[in-house]
Amino acid sequence: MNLPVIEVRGLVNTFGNQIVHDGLDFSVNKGEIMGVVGGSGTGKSVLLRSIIGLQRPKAGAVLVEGHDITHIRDWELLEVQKLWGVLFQSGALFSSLTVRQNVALPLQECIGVSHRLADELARVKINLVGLPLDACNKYPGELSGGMVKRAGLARALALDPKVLFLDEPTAGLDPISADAFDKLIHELSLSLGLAIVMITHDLNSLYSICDRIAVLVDKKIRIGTLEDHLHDNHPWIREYFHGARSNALLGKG
Amino acid sequence: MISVKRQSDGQNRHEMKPILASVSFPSEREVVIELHNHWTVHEVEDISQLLRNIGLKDISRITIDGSDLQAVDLSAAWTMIEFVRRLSLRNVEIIKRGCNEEHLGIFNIVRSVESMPFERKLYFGSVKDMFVHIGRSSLLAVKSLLDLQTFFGQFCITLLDTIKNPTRLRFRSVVYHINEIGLRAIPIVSLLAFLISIVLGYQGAQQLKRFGADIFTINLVSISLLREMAVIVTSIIVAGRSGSAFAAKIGVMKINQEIDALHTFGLDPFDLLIMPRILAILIALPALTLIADFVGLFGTMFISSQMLHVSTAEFLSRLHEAVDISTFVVGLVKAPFFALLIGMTGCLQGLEVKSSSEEVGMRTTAAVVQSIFLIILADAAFSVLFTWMGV
Repeated sequence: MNLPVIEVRGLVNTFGNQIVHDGLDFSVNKGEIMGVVGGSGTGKSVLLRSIIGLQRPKAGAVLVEGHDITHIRDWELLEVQKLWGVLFQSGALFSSLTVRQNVALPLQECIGVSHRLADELARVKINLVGLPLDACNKYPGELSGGMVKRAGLARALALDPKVLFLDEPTAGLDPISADAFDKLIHELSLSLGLAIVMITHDLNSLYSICDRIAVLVDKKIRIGTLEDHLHDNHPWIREYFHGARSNALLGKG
Repeated sequence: MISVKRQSDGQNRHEMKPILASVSFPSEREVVIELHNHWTVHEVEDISQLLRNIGLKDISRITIDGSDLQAVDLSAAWTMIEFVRRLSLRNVEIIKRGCNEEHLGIFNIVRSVESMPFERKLYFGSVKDMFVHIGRSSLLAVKSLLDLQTFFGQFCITLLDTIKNPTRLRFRSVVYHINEIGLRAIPIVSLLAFLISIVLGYQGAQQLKRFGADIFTINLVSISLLREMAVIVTSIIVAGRSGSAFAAKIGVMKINQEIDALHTFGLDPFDLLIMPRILAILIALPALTLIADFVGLFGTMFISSQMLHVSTAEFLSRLHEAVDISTFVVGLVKAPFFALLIGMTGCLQGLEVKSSSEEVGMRTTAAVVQSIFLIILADAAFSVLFTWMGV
């Protein structure tokens, strides 16, 4: 059960002369939800981009199911990229396509599924993420924020990936939608055995659904359960997990 | 036992394809389907074909054996569920066996999702639709003209108000836009005016030579240049460069809610965004036309010296005979009107953007196409008017 689906070894990222990441090591297992937190400018998005191959890291290796993706050719990377689904922060839905076409597109383009079948499979995914049926034929511009996130998730799930990357999935959602979205992510991870890496600032999500939390701090990464981080003495981590918001959630002070 | 192999998808797979299912018929009315290997979205097309190809004509009982199934994902599970659903409609007895917990879980997710009703939207293109479409587009075209008229009214009111109360004018902004629309367009406008006069001169000289009237090339080129070509070419360039930029810039601001933000400060976007642009284009376009006139005449002089071997002095005296100040004014007087058309269409199209970024592209295109169309329409109207006035 506990085979790491994604493994990052000694990852180094730089921006010009500025070092963003200085040797990160971590792994995500099947069926696990990993939350990634960090202050602004600590390179959460850079980390995500280098794992999903949108940006080549300066040094280190990213292993997806045992294959190193940092030293492969571009066309090989395109093949590997089909193994995961990504939900971008603002959904990144293709604005000229309806929701259903958005979900069907990867099926038709990457796998060559026929138009009819792709449509049907897209419908399954759209139903799965709990979008109302009339959303299928809507354009992204006509959707509410919560629906855009769900549609984005449906598209991320289009190719039945084993790994899901979520960039601030609950940002900008009201608490009810955010809770529902968290629940949906949790259910998907349980029922499909998805490994999920989730950048988030939503303490609720961190506490309720994340199995482990990775904290980006001082160009390094610290991974542990919520319990571990609560006992960490690093000033930023203390402030993060013992701040007023966090305490309110944990039922303290 | 019949083994049904994966069908070739005719594309890039070179390796041996794994067997996805084996089908056997223990009796005439019974079929057993054993599932093998990995049922994933990559095989989904083959799976659905494979299931469709199983001869099920007289079958009354079907057994699905999942004991050898290695993996299944949602997409592949859906094809199986869909297959079973269609069979159950025909009252075929379905027996499932040997599936492990994990795979059953996946099948169950799909089944729970599937139970929701869904209607397929069908599009029929009928003759009636065609007429509806034509009618709707015509109404839209009329509406956009009316909108332009309303916009013009709004512009006039704001202009009068600005004259009464000059502090409303954003002077810096006007200067900035004159630079963008005018100064930066000088190289391209000059180049085109030069080339157009050369092309006209070359063709004119070729044709007129046959009548021995090739010296009249100078009349032909200078008059058509000053009256029509310079202002038209300049307007088209400005429509492409600046009309589109107006629409795109204002459209993006609309999407970013920047226009709404201005409103919340009690600022009128008309003052800040639209007046400066339209005033700037009203100044810049005539100025560019003037430049195009002179560069064009220079081009005419050049081509005359090449084709007709006319000296500069001779050219100038010829030009003096052919052209008087009215020829020049007739061309130039049109420029502010064209400027107004370009500026208003561009700004209006930008303001029409509602929410999606895709609209910005559409509106930008519309701004250019509409303004060029309106320019040529207006030019035709001016021709009639000037003929009537006898100039």
